[in-house]
Amino acid sequence: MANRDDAFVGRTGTDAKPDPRLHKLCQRRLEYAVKRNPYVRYMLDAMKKAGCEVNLEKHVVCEPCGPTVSGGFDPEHRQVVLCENNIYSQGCMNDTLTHELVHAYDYCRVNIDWNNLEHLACTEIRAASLSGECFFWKETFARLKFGWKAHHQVCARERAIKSILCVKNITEAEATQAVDSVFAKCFQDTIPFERVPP
Amino acid sequence: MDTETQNTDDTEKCTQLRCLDYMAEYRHCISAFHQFHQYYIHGKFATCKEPKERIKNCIKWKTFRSEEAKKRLLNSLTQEQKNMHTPDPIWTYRSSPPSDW
Repeated sequence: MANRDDAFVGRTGTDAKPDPRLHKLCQRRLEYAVKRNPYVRYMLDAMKKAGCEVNLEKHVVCEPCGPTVSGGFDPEHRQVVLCENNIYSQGCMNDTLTHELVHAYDYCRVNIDWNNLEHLACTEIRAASLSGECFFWKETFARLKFGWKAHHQVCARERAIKSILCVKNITEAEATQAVDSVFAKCFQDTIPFERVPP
Repeated sequence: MDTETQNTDDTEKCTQLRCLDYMAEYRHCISAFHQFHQYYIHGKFATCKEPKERIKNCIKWKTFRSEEAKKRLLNSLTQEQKNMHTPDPIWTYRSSPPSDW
């Protein structure tokens, strides 16, 4: 999710000091997610089958980031960045890791142009939909956003717009327009999952 | 993957799955959890027509050796695979994984 020639936005322009305790915690949560979380394991397996086997030491790093992001995929360095100062729980780690692995999977299987707003919107829609961020109980009980009928789509759309605004310096209207223009196609694309996971 | 290899793979898949597996799939489809999940994702409940048809075709094929039933079953399975993809993607697919991974 890079918007400049250098690394992804959470990595640059931050004064966050590395905290060894947080770094260790991040590593521990990462190890747990990789061993135990079914979505993370499924995505890692899918990456391997796609020909981009994830080497945890090379491709996944824990770093301090800027205030608003919990993680990112840096295509310049081909790394999933996990923000040790913003990931507050194991659940958050699971979601963030799955989300970023969806981006990595798209990088692996598709000619994605990170400067193309539609491509960015598409990968964000897929990541929001497939990572588990929009599960019913999270939306209802954690974020207090009540809704039942097709609410998953509402959530995926909102989170995709927010993610784009995090990495691109554009107006909300432009981000909304990009997401809406590709939503139907990209929401249907659930690869590597057979359908939107429960 | 050329059509022949794909057809062989699908036939293999078809022969390996038991009708009980299709029944389990149907039971999962009509379960409250799945129906709720479908309503939450798509705004409508699942009709479960496809899993039901698959059971019928599987039984017809296994008991009466109906080639037509087997063909319908295979079509149903390949259609499900196709539904995972979008027919008109906004991007182009790579022919091989990135060399710089």
